[in-house]
Amino acid sequence: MGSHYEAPIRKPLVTGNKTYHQISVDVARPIEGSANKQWWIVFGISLTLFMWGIGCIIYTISTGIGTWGLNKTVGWAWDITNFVWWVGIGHAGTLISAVLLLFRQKWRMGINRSAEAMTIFSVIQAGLFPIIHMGRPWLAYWIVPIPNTFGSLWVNFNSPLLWDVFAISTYLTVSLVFWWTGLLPDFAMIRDRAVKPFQKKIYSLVSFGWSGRAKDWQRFEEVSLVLAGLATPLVLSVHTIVSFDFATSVIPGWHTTIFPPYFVAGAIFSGFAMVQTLLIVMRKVCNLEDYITVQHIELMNIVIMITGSIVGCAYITELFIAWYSGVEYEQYAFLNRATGPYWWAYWAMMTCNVFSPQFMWFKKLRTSIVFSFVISIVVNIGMWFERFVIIVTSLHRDYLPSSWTMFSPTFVDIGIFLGTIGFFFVLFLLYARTFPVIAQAEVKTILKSSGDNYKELRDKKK
Amino acid sequence: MAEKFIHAVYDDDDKLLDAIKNLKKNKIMIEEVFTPFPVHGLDHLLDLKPTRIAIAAFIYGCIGFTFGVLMINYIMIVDWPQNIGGKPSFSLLENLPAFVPVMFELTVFFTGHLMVITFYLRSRLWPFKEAENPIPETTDDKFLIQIPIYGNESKIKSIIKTTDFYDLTVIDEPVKKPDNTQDEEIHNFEETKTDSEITIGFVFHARKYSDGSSNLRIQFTRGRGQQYAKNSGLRIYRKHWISKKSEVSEKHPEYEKVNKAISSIKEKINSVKQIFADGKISFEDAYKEVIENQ
Repeated sequence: MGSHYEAPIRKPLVTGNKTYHQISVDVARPIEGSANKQWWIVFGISLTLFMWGIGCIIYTISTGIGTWGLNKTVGWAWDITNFVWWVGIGHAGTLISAVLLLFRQKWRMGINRSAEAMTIFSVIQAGLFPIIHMGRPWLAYWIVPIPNTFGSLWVNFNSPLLWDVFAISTYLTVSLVFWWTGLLPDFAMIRDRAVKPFQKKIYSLVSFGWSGRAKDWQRFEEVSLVLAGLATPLVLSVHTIVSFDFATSVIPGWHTTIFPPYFVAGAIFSGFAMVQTLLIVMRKVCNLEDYITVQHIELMNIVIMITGSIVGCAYITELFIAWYSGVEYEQYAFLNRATGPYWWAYWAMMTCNVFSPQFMWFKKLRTSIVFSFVISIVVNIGMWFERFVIIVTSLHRDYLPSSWTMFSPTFVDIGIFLGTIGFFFVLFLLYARTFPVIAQAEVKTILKSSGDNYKELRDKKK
Repeated sequence: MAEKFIHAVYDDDDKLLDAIKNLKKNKIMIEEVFTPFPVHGLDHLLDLKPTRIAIAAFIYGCIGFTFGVLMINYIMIVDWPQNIGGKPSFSLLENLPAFVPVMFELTVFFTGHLMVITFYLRSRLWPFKEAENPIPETTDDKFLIQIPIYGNESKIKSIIKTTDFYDLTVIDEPVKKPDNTQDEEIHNFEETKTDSEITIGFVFHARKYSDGSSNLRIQFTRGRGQQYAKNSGLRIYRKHWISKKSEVSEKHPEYEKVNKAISSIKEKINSVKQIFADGKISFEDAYKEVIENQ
């Protein structure tokens, strides 16, 4: 017992008197049981949205980008807004599993599996937008460094858009192997419990024959640690590079050195909000309240509060620097954001991202599940507006007042966005029914230090 | 490789570590340990060498970085230099800041993927690979030590019996997952196996009833390979089964009645062994003496 000591002041991370076996049973239950009615209803809605999105994508590709609301002044709008929004959401997973692993935060173990799943699914959604926006997506392979079909021209390594290609594809694939490697012991647990032959076959296949030898575990831990060390700068680099898409341009409102840290903080902010949204529902539906406790929710809320405040500081810094720069174009860009025709988007962003997370200073509010859920949705809406504000308000007032215009989305813009939300939830719902949603092997390692029954036992001994 | 193994099973990581310390003190060789999660300190206790996978990862990173530099230099400087926004297109070094992001991403890409591939190959993990854990519970809540026997069976057993073990099994053949007995786990209370002798032990059927109980079966084994099991007619909660004693604990409902029934089966088992040794009954019919007389 001595080696499992943890300061009594730390709250238990696993409640409900669990044993090792009970953890396996709880994690396997959603997989071994059958789906309830609510699951089918939500899945049906998501699938319908997804199908609607596919319809809009087909319409876009067959007719052209003209089906969107873009015009010659606002050449980027919902597509890139959605892209950045989804990439941002995709940052929490790797942050939770990598950065929190390096900091030895044990509370990551209850939530990292689902957060990583969410990362991968949302990066898939993000990747769709640039490909659709190419207009001719069958030529998407031109973004990889191969000589041009018509000569020996190559891709341009000076371009942030190409950096994005490398950053997003590295991020997606490295996150995927990180996730899958962590899944192997848990798939093996499901495999060894499976009674139905088909289930056994499938989980044998995906667990890659994991047997849990001492040497395997030694390598497993080392690989996890090195991958975490790699993924930490990776996750920071990805959103930094996404922000370069704007920051390296000369558009007032985009050309800002604050963008990389500001975008990274915003990404963590929105990612944690999405994790919060998903897990608050999942812990209830899958009966995982003992593993994703109020303590987990509270800690996530604190991260949301801090990153939200960083984002708020960035907004104010932007305003200050625009004034301080003395450049009237810069000054106008920010004045126009706050008081121009898109003032409602700016203030929606301010309310959702800067004011709403401040409620989390109150312990009563940040430990309230309903309130956390509401705030997590509010933050996601706010972060979508942030990208919309940055992109559209900076573009719609061009240098020449004769080019000034407004942007309004068509049903195709809206349809594709809703389609990606549907696609995301289709993937996540399927995941929740077929994957071990808690990293049970990892949770078992902290049971004796952070389980409520073991903590009580230690307190009694004293 | 030894032909015979002892599988000592534990239901707790601390008991496992104590047992390994005990075995090490007695200079018993441990071939393999299977655990459901990484047990802290196990690798040191087993004297496993530190893994060199992080060193490999560093080398892969260097390869990725070199690849990135060479590729960008060839594409942007050597093969087709272009004037892009007036950047110095004829010098890698002068144009380097714009190339750093891709070089970094390629370093991470190569390190991450090659390291994971190395891990999968070294630990022999890939799709369609058969799992090799001897009992399925080692991915759930059991910890198994595999000890090769080199004529020291009784010594090993006596050491294991001093530890707080959950189950002890002697495996006669190289560890393979036998398909036909996969759904039954063996809890022999006797382990000698030669052709002239019959071994009779208790096993549980893997299927559980909805109340959590399962059928207790009697397994008949002769030598290697000849084996069958019959239902004893008893339904028992496995969690209250004490395999060392082959009876149920006091927590089992109606445990006195159940243990009485089990002990009467044990008596019959002993008598049928005698009948079998005298040659009065065939191996195939041995079960009739145990079960149908009830």
